[in-house]
Amino acid sequence: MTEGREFTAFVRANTSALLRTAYLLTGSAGAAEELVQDTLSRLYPKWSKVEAADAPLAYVRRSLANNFVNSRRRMSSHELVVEFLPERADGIDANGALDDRDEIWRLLVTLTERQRAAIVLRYFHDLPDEEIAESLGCRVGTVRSAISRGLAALRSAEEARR
Amino acid sequence: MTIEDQLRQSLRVHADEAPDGRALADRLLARNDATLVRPRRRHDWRTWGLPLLSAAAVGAVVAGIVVVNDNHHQAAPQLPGNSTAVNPSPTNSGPGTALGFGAFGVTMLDAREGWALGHRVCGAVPCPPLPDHASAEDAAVVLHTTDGGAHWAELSSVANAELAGSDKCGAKQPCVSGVLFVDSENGYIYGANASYVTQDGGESWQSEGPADVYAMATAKGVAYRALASPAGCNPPGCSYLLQRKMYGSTTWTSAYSKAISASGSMSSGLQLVASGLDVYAMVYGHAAGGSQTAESTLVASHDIGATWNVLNDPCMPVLQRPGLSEIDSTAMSVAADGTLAVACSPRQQGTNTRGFVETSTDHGETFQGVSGDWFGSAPIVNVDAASATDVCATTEKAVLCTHGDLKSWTKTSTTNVLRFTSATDGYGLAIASDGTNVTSTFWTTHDAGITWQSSDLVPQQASPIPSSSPAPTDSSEPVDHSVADLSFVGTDDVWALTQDGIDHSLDGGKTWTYASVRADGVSQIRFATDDIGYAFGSGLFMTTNGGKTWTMPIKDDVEDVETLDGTVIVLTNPLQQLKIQVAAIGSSDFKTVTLPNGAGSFYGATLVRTRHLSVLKLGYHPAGSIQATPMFISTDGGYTWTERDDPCGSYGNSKGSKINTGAGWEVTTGADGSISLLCELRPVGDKSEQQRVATSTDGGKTFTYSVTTDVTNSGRNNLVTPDAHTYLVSDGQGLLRSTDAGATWNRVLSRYVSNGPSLRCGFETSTVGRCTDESTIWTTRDAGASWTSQPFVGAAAPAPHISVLSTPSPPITQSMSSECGDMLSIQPQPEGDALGHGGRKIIFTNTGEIYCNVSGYPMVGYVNPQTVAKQTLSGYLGGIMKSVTPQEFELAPGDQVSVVVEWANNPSRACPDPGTKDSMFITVPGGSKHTLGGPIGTCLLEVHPFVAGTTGSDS
Repeated sequence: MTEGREFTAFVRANTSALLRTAYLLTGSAGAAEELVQDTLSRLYPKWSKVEAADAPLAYVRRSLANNFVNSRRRMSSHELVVEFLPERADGIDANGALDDRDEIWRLLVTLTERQRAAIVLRYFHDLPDEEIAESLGCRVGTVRSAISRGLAALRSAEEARR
Repeated sequence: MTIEDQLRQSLRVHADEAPDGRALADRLLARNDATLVRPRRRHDWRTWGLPLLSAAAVGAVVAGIVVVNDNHHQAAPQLPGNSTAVNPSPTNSGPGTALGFGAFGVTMLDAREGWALGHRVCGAVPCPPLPDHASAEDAAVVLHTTDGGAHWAELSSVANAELAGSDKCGAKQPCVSGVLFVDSENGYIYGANASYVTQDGGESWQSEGPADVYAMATAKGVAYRALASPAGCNPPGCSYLLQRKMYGSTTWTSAYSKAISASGSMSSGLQLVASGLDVYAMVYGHAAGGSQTAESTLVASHDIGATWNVLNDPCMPVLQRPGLSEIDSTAMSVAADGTLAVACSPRQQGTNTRGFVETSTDHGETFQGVSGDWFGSAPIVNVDAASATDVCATTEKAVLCTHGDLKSWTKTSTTNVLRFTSATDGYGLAIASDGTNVTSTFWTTHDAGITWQSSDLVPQQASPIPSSSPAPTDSSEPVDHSVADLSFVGTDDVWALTQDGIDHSLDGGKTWTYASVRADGVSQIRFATDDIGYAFGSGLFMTTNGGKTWTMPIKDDVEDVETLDGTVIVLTNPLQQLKIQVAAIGSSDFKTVTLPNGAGSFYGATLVRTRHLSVLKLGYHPAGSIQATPMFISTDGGYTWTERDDPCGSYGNSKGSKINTGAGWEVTTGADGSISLLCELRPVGDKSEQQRVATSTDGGKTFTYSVTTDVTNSGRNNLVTPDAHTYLVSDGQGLLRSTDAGATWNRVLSRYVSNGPSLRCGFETSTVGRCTDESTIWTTRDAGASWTSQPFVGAAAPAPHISVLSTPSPPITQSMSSECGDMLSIQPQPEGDALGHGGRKIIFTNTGEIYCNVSGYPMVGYVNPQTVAKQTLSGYLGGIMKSVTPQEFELAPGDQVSVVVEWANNPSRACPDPGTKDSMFITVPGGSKHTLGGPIGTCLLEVHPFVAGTTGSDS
């Protein structure tokens, strides 16, 4: 059960950090929780591989970002989601309680998943483009393109708002 | 500001809006078995798909009682009908009570805790009506056991849910037939047209909507279920969808990408089993038309349902054996060690047919046949492997088990349903009926099926474990509300153990609510939080839901229990052999720890804790000569201990020939971390004993001694010390107090009783404390200088059953140690404004003479209207950026911490009219409320955590 203890210790220590990233990716508390637990659930059977990584948190974070992009992509075609229980209310309205700084936040959700993930990894986690590309399973050029397009979209929306 | 800068700032701010990770981590880990996790039971996460149970099972249930449907996988559960009773009648019948209990399913988490789903059996005497049910006999009722099935407490009836097979169960009625629990709190009742979920151990249930759930299983905290595919189940061609629900998620997602069905698209049912990471689903072939190739489909996953592979029908190769024909897979199971067992039954009875059990230790890739000569041609309706070497199977008539060689089988019991929860522990269920009365018998084994014990499965009022539903009181009977013990979670949050239950007060004992019945043999209680508490005496009982339900993690006699700093320390059997067991608060995973050099010879032990310090003092026999006995100190929650000499014995030795010997009996701790002992000293040539108080403020390394007390010759007295300088000693008449190291004593509490129960006292802080005898609670808020009394009235009546879906409790990370509280001075300072934002920095200084702890956030806000600042990790003006959780600080005298309070100045959609107030209130954890002058904004008010130093920020 050593593996189980390591998994437990990791979850205890890092769930908050992962949730922060997941929240920035999804913009919703409920979706963030689902993303984190789905990511951890997928990784749990091969946890020894996570443990063997140089930085397990970075490994899981990359998986989380990748899971975010891919889960959005495959949800309509592969996942059969049966929701019998209503989700708990987030308690947070991502579009509410906005002041100036929140305009950027509101615009973020209009970006594509890949653009948003690339922006979160660069501007929140300060990851180099190479690591972002590895996380998202794409080329470095694709990352730079996604960020560039994302920033352009934000600038454009910001200027239009003014 | 560039768009990039705005992005960084926005992301940083909004990251703080993410939900609390501790709650999610707690749910994720709730099913894990590490001690760091929030307190849940530890188990092997192994139960079985119940539809088969309700088929094989309930059909078979019936040990030759009810006709067993050949199509046992799909056999609709039937209420027992006419048959011959084979078990004794239950003994609790009486006017207005159920005669018996017809069990439909049982699920056990481990050898002790489990649930049963069934219905009341009323016979000629009407059962008490149940709300939301037309008939008390048809209602689905859930029982709970925490003592391995010896006693079952009736938890709840599931609203509107009728038992499958009852008169009220139709195509449009919610009908249930199976029960499955993932852990002590999360479980399911399911069946045709209905699925219900509980998050409070079965206290209350909520519908998951219409769902035709055929089977469920769980392992590693993941729940699996099989539904009929949208194509329907037009007999006999059912196909099934597999779904899973991950770690506390509220959503079922598909586990297998397509519907699974048996060969020829006809099936006779499905079974779902899980253990560890392994999940197996078998759709059994249908023998319609006498098809020899009624092949079953077996799919397997070894990564909790993420990926699957299809395996061959394990029973097909059996057909190759000489003289055999028409053998079908009829049951399967997976053991805790991964052994997969499948029963192969002859389709027709005859002299040349016999059943086999096939086992696989390579995840179903290959099977070995276990001799089936012992089964004859009787269908094998159930099989389960405790391990690769211990396998049991049931026919309609008996349970047969094989051990070791997998060749010879021995008839062991008459139970028909059997399940193993570990390599040794298993259980079974049998039901009998004589047409009027129904009895359910619960069988258990603890030696892998070699021997079995039986007990009646009937709801009992007098469970040894407090049940969730307090027994109604007879208004004609006076309720005994005398106090046996008090436990304080906070200064006004009090739990009381009374003669008839456990009461809870949130106003310092003025009013009480009934929380739980009292277990037999319980003499003391310790509550760590509003949810987690312990009752102990003859065993240790634990609740994680405020007394609604209890488990019994320790069966030995328990001498003392203390909770602090996230751990619970339990002393058991001190008179025979001291055993110290430690676990995370709320966890059942106790670790036995040892003392350096052993405990030696002693009589009794006392355990006290304060401020990261646990003190264990061994005693000497009061009837013998005074003997020094060692004291042990732990600073890691009780996991490791350091031995210290008895300071009283050391004092005696230091006096050479003047003091013959000395020993400390009574040990106590102050809220300031001090340790004090009441020393009993015997001067040479003087038969009268002296008493002095020995006090340490350095964790027991060195002690100072008071002058001789003037409370000698009054027997053994109890000592309480709110701090290192204040002594309170109880005697028969009340309390004496000294603040000058024992030189003078003042009586501060008088009871005017003779030979009454002695006072038991404790302090929650350095100023707030309480004493109680059996009928009165005295409270002080000035370190014992003055006391007010109030009679203990207790709860007026047991609280009604509260049927509310509980929400996950926060993890136990909060320290139970004393806090800086009012030792902190508060100095507000202006904080430089940012664009559109204003703020204040507040500096806190430890003005006490001792170390103290502070963590988290202060509560900040303003009145009129009452507003409290949102607690966020950081903002524009300060907070913590280098961590994701607030830190705890231990402050030496003079040390400082600080926080930043900030608000928005510019109008926004959320706050179109920002303003300011002239004053704010602030309360530090454990301290009083203070009012500070100066402006505070009214828009988007936030407070950030304590940080070291005076900057209000860790960046």
